[in-house]
Amino acid sequence: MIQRIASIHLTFYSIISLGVLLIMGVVLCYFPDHQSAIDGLNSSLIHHWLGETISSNPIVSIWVIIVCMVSAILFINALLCSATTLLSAALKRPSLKRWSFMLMHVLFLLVLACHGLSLISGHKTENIQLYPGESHELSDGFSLVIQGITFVDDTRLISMKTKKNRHLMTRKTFHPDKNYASVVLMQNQKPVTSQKVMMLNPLVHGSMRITLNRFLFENPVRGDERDGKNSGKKNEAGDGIKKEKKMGAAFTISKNRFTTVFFVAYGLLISTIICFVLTKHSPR
Amino acid sequence: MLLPFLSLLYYLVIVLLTLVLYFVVKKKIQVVKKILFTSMILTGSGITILIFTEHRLPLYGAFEATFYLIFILTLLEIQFWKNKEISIQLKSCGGTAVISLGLLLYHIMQPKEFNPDFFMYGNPWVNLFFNLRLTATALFTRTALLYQMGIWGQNINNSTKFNNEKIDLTTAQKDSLKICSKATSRNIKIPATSPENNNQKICKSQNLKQNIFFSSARTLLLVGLVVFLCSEWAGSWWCLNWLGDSWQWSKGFFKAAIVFMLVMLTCHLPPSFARNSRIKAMTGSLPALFLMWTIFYH
Repeated sequence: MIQRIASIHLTFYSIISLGVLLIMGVVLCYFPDHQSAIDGLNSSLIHHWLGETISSNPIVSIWVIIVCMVSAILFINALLCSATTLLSAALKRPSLKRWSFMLMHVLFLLVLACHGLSLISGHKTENIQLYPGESHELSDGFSLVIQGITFVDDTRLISMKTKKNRHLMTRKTFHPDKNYASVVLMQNQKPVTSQKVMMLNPLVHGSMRITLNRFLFENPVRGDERDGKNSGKKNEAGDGIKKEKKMGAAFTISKNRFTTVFFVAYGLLISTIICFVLTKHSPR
Repeated sequence: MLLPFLSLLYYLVIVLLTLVLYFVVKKKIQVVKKILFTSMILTGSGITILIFTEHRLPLYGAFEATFYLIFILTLLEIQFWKNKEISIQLKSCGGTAVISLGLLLYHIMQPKEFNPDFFMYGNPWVNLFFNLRLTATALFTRTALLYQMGIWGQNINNSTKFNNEKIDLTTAQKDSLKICSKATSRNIKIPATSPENNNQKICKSQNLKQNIFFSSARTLLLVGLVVFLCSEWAGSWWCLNWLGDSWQWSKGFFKAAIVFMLVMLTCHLPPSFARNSRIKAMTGSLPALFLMWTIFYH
């Protein structure tokens, strides 16, 4: 039984199935409904997402379930193959080639495991729009306070639509290192760390990452609504009516304990493949 | 000011690669080598101009991607010439010229200019992600070419063998062939000069040639995988710093995973499939085809 599960035939058919499923995923992304359902997976854990999406979009939900199942089969297949065939071969006749061959499979398993674990653990919240003086409550008593936004370039770049500003945001017109949000990370009302968060330069505290995705102008309607209804966000500055456009930033706050392991394992996987290529003298 | 110069460079490379094909047919290997080397220098100078004027590495964008791919392909071609027979060198040069010309002609209607600037091109991880992916595409393309040349040789061998047999059968050797075939069925040693023995020799030499192509293709596939994974590593780091996660559920990431799966497919063929050189060559060519589609459809 173990021999069958660890066989190269199962590997071959699992890879084909996963490839076909990924092609289906690419096709699904061309449909706006399915695309938005798939996008939802980026900001929530898989079990929460499935609970919400299974009824609204069963096609994408079933697709995700099958992708996870086939990945699990490939994982078990690679695990058993490494433990039975590759490890015993490396132990019987040890050589750098055999050990690197075995290790590359183990590291692939580690990378795959990190992917799987990040689907079911940690958290990620996207598109948190904050303006100077506002704060956002996080888990474990943490809160994020925006002290100010500095934007030195032409502000028209922010108001344009994404496709248009993509061509106008050149290295001459937009300077990611000069435009930033000054933020303070607090825990139980006490400041833990503060930093100028720029695009491509997030605030990292332990396994938590606060990433600045884009700058934005406050929508006047949204400002009025917020003043009227007083949504969950606090206004520390205590501003009155905000009819003028105010500049803010959209953040992604994520917490994933496996990020470091993922990058280290990925790097080591590349190293073991290099080692295998270098030791592969003669054609099989 | 740069546009007319780039257009001139583009058409000059087209002319040179056409000349390569002409001299491959004429079997003038030394001339072929010199022209191919000149093509590499010209495409390399295009890349150098890009690096100095745009202050970045070649990224996606029809013109610069094509020039960079041809530069790497010709570089790999020159590397391949070492200790190879002239017939193998000619075949390989011809293959490289055909692919390179195909790439250039595919973009003949598009503007001969570099990709428009974007503020993220100043980030080293963005540069590495796109440039290494292009390099991996060139390596996978070379892999596909080697696999195809491996089975192409076999096809030529089969057709030559068939034609030889036809000619032989219409001549006086027809009878001696019959005797030889009877002798082989009775396990009688066939004389060294018999047509079967000659065919076996041709077959052996063709298999040897196929092994040379397939062995180089296998090594290059793994090198391509290393470069592709380095590109993905850089891309994941970029994504982490830009969007807060190393993986996104989006078509771009699915496409990258498909490329990885296609390489894995070639490396994990069951023995029954791996014995078939056509299946091997077909699966080995898929990563290049798919990556080409992702780059030029982008």
